[in-house]
Amino acid sequence: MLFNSLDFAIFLPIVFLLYWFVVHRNLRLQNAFIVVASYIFYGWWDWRFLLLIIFSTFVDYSVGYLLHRQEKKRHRKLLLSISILVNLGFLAVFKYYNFFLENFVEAYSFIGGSIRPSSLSLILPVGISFYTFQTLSYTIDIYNRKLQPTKDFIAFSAFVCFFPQLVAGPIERATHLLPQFLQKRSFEYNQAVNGLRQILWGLFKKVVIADNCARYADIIFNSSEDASGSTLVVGAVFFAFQIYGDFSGYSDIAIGTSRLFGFDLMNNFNYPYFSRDIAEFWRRWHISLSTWFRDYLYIPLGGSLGSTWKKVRNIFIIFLVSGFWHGANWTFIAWGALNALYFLPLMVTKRNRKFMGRIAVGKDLPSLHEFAQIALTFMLTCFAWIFFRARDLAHAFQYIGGIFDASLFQFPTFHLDSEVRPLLLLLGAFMIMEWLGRDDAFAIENIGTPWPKPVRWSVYFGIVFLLFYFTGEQQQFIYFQF
Amino acid sequence: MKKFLTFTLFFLALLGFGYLMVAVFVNDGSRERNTYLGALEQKHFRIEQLNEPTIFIAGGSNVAFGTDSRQLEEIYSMPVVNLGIHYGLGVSFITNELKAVVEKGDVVFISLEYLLSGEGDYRVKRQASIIYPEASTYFEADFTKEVRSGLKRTRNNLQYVIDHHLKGIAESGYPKDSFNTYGDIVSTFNNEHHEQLKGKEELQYRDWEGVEILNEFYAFAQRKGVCVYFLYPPYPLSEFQKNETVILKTANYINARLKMDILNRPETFVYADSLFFDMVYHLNATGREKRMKALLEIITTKDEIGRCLQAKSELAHSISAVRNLK
Repeated sequence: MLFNSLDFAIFLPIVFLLYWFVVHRNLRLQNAFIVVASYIFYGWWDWRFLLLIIFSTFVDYSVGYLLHRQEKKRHRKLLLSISILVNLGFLAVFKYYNFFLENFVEAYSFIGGSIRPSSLSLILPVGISFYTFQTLSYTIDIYNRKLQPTKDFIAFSAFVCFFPQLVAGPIERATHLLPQFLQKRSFEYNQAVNGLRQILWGLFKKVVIADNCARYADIIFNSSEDASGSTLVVGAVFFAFQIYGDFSGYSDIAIGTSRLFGFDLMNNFNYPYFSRDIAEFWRRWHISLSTWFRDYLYIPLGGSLGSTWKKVRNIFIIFLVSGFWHGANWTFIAWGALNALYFLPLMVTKRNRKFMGRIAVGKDLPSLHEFAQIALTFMLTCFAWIFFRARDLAHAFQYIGGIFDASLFQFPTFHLDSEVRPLLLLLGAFMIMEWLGRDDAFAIENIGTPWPKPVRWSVYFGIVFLLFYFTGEQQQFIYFQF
Repeated sequence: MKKFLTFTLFFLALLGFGYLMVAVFVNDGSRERNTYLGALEQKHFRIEQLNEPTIFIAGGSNVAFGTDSRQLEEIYSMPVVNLGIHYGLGVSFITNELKAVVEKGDVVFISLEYLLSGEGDYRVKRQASIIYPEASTYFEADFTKEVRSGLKRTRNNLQYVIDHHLKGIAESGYPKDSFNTYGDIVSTFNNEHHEQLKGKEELQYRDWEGVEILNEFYAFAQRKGVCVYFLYPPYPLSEFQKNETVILKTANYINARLKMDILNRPETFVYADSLFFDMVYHLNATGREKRMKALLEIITTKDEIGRCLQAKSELAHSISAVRNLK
């Protein structure tokens, strides 16, 4: 069920009340209840998806238990390999089989051969890319002796399937989330109120910003052959806001919902469009995934140690794999490669850690220089998003070719109906809110905290009104397809 | 916890109260009756006035834009009603509507948008039933969908009130008086062709559920003595080239399973983009002329249809003659 759906609006309060009023006295019961609720949530899409996640849970729980008891390095490697093979195997079959098959057939026909293998008609289980990585972090951390396995199977199951973050992250580490299932949770008023506020903001980003930007991004991308260069630029910008609102909005709802149940999830987005260079962007965008790749792929490969060739190789591997994680299409690989090209000069010149702190500290506005850096980084990001959104590489290149045309300097020509102007105003107001709240976990975390309650509540009513008034056509969360 | 629940419930209660106030104010039905779907009332009013075998054209807006009912009426001396209005009503609604109005001796031409949803959009169906209450029998009510469509309706009406009354912005789309008495859209004929047609999409193939619904309607029509024919819709060339594989695969699926006669192929009504008005299925005046010419050619060259229509036409004359005598 989608977070912005009536089903979830009914599901959440029921689960919340049962959690805190019926099962709260016993930790095991509380965790078991989370498992049941999460399986209902996940099975709502398709009950068959549950078979995979339950199997994955059993395998990784067993591997973790056996890993801890095993001292011989060869056997430990074998056990870890089982976990990796099972989890990545699921991904390979459900997500990548047809892609590899199609490309193999094309390559074979290129050299003169001809084969007709049968492709698989498989539904991609929602969230598979997320929970497989989450459970892999468990077994890898046990292998590296950073974590003790848990004997509590119920707690482990709850860690794997916890419904707020099951289908689109944040991808939690076992070292961070699993201990929270092993200790009693008690209701905290401020945590719950903060959670509700974050849910509200997440809904605003998803329903108002993302879904409305999606409408115009879709129009422009679907008719890109006829659009002027300036229109295509606008389309890329709309998509940039669509994907940010969609994904960070989902993360906010996930984190806020978790708070209602006494859990603390990691922050997944840290105002990435205020980044001053690409390296900073990648420290602020989809943090849970980028840190996962850093810790479990980049560092084991050698990271930024070793020769320049090795560093370049590792950067490309990370970004290409990250691109490929998003989907079985050459466009995602191209997107990853482009980001690697953006990142490389910074790394080679050792400037990739230049912007580690806050933006415009102690100032209301960025300096002109900072603004130029933010604008340039945003433009580079938008350019890369073209590959992410395009149907295929041909469409991406056609889109880019359309931008670099004399019509780039004309006024955008797509259908500007009466609804786009309010949307543009909303986008402006949204970015102002994000800027003002850039030091907080989410933009409205501390909004109006010194104000009287009626005034604060008026702001919340205002956001709910905007949610109601500007609700776009309901769109699936983009990252559900990953 | 008590404080949290108290404040949350109070907040929700205030929200609910605010929503009810807005809903009562804006949902008086006046807006819906003046919109495009308001034409549904006119179409059914025309049907109620008719007392003889009739030619019905049914489908989404491709039919509303692409049919010259008067031409058909003149050739076959039978009244024509263009029921085509909105693809959002879905195949089920369209066939249920037909079931409610067809009588023995009628002829039905169904032209549906590609891969048109069997179920349709609940909100559009609910809006149709607000305008024309009888339409509530054309679909099954669903509580959660009622709640959702109710919320959307309130939102749309609120937007209308703000845009129309406060900002003076005219409602977009086609108003009720875009239609002539036959149910054809005529108001857009003098309007310029839009360079960028709306509604462009990449069709995704599926085994179309509409076939089963149409077959069920066909069985009903046969029992009732009604002739039914299926037509592929008019479609812009650029979209056809983009979606050709999916369209032809869909056509193969339909041709293999649909029991009613199919009068054309998908390519028959593919026209240059310039012959469409503003959206993918909406022909302009010239496009409609071309399509009607092609359609009439099809109907007249396929003998059984001519016989069917001729028989109905004779029947219509007989019925009229008898009624006049009375």
